[in-house]
Amino acid sequence: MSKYIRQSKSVDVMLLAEGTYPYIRGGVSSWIAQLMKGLPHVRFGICFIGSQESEYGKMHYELPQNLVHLEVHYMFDNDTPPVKRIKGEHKSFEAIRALHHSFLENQGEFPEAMKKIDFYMKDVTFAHFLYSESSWKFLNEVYFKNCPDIPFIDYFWTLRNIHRPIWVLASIVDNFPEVKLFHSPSTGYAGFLGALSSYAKGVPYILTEHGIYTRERKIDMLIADWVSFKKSPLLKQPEEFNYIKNMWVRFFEKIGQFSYQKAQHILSLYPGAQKIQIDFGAKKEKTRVIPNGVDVDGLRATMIHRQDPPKPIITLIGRVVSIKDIKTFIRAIRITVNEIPDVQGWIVGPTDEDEEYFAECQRMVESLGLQENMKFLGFCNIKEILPQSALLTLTSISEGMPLVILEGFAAGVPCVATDVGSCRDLIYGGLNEEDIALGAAGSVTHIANPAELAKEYIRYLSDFSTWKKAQEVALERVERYYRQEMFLQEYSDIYTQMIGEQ
Amino acid sequence: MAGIGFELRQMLKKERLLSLAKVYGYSAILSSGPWVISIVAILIVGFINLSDLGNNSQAAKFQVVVTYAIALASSLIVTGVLQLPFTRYVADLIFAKREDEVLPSYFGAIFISWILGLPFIIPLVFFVFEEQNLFFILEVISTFLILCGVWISSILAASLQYYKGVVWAYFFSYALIVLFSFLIGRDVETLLFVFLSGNAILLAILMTLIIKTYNSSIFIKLDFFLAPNFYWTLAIAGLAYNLGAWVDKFIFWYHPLTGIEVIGKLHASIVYDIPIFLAYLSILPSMAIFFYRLETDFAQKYELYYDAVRSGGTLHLIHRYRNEMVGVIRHAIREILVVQGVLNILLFLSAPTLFKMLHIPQLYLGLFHILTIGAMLQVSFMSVLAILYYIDRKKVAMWLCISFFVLNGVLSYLSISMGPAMFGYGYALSLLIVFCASLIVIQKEMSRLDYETFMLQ
Repeated sequence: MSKYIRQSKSVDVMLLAEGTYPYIRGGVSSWIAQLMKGLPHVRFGICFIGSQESEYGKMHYELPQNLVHLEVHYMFDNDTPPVKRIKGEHKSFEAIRALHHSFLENQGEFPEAMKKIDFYMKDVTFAHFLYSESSWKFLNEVYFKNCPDIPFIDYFWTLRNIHRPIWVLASIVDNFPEVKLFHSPSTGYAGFLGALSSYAKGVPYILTEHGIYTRERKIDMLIADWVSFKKSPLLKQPEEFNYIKNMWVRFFEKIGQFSYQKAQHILSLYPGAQKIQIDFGAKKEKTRVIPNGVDVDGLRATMIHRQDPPKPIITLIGRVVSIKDIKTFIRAIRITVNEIPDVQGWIVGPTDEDEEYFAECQRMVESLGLQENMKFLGFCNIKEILPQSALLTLTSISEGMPLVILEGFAAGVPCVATDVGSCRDLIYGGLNEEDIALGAAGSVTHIANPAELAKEYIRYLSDFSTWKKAQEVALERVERYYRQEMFLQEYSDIYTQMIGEQ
Repeated sequence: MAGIGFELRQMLKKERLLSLAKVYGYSAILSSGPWVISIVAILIVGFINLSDLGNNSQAAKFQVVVTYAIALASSLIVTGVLQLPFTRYVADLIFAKREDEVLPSYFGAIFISWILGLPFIIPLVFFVFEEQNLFFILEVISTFLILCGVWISSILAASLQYYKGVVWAYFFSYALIVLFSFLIGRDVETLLFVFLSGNAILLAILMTLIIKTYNSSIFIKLDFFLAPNFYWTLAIAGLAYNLGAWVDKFIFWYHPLTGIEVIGKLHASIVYDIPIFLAYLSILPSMAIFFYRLETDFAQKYELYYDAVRSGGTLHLIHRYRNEMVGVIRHAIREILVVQGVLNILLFLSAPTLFKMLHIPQLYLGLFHILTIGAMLQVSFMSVLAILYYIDRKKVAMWLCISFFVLNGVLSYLSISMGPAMFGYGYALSLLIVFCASLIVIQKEMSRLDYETFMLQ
């Protein structure tokens, strides 16, 4: 299913948003909003890719003036071609066989066929993929060769579902308006769409990776209970699960590499991510770090509302979902209460995304007797929250580059975070030697370790001079490296350069 | 996090037929059961009264009238058009746990058969029997209406597996018919009256069986017929099959060389009728055998197959169960051919004696031989059709039935012009062709079963 919310015949930069702006809140979405707001002279278009319309509610962002085109596509709404028995051409599946072969071998150039839009629209159409006998034969062949012992129906649906969006995406390419530059804020399907559009239209393509898509997919898979047939764990053979899991991972790695190959710039937010990109096959000379930036001046202005020393309030800004590991935060507060009885743990962020998890967290608060110490505040204006907070914290098991840490720094709040994504770089410095020399703007702990977190909370809250030192580092670091203007300028330059080249 | 959510829990969308839906696979066979029972009864009534009343008598007229009422009217319309879509709909209802709608739909089906039948039967009766009195005409129309009800009821009752009840109901009411026609059957009106009353009793018994099984809050429901998803392919298949099964008789009745006028404009064929009805009787054992195979072996393999598909069997296992299904089909068809073949040889040997006992001229023997072979092919063809319905291949079954109708019509007509020696060859040859074709079809369908199950759901 597809629809147009805004439509224009030509756009400068087409952003390919997979499951983010404007329907889902989060890091990537804020980044997109910030980019569009900060570069008002650029005519943006957004192509939103979602799974099913029913999974997304209303828009969470007010669309800016310079967003001239917004199209929305759902990959898994039932708009498949009518079911029909087709023979399918032998020749076309030779191409798929070659493709599959190149997927299995780790390295190598992608076959030309994959880059051509006609391959998807004419040679092996969606109907061919879904219904043809040659497609079935190929599937059987691969199954018997690679994994004859796993439940066939799992294999069948996994295969069908991971590939299905490819054809939906190919049909999107055909209907794009005139675009000067494609920019995808992730790999995955959005990255594939970017690369394919770029090949098809002869227009440059750049990629910015926030998190590492394949890694997040893996976590997604561990959390989601998606295996359709529940055998008792004792009966389940480990390889059953693993083959399908590996198939997923390999698939996303491959389409990731497809985007890396085509992208003219492969951007990341922090050096750690850049290193992973290179490990995954990105050419080093294409990669570059452009950190996020925040509105430093605006946030610093809130500091006049602070009281020194601050009340012992520890704030976690983030959605109440399992990937943020809110429960570890609650446990850490429990331990902190032993030393500092009046400590407050605030959780600021929407609670409606995973209501079951939210309910679990609430029950945990009750059973640990923390009703007086923990508060779920929902979605709030951070400019009101930050001046009241003594510490900012993140207990996530996965992050990209969390903007809230920088926002906290700009408002004079040090941070205690788990060692994920770029947290270490932000807190201890990681951009260069000078950055490291600035010192620590808080602490980094292991993931899922409440005792370690509590120890750090207590250290900062019970010694004002330690806290004060961290605040100074925080203010200095964000001022020097993470100003919004710097971030916007870099993208502005890249856009001008890419569009100008044509 | 960027990325879209996945729904990998998707299953086979249609929970296929499975245990309850097999109801309708059976009905192709089941419906023939009552039909054969009636033929037996009519023949017996005929023979009993034949001895009483002499040749070309009232009894012969009675036979023809009843045959017409069954053949051309009720069975064509009811078992033809409605039977398969109706049983399929009931199977869907039971599967969807909407059992309270079964009873209203059953009444609805009877109602529709009347609505469809009346505009057809009334003009026909007045046209055909223009010289007969009104009482007789009313009797014919009532017989038609009652028979429509009886067909639908027997199909449903048998599909609900009241086998014993159905058989006893038939046995009881037809015993009454035979007894009373012997006692009071003096002319065609009284014979028809006895037949009508007997069938009314039969309908009452069957209806009681069905009504006591299901509760319902509404009386009648026509959804299955009016809904946009009415199974047209099934209706056409059923109609074509029945037309095919009767077209050769019809041609023999009305062809000037073979048919004679019996009553009103009704015709019969002295040469063809008795041999073909006797031939039909000969296939009863094979039908029983096949029905048994379908219900036990095939149903079991079929369930194993879909179980393997749905609950995570390996492709190897799925293939194995599919091959076992193929094995059962092969075995069942071979069994029909072997059993029926042996039976035919016995019949051929004993036919002269049998014909003498029944006062049938020995002239019919040659025709009887070829018709028996034709009937054997018909039961084999019907078995393959039943399997095609079972695995839900409606369209191809429809085309097979249409071919049967066309071929039987054309070849039977040609056979008459080729002389008496060739009588019956049209029927047998048309069945030989469609049976072979159906074997090729089922072979293809079975080899494509996995593909269609997964890719084309």
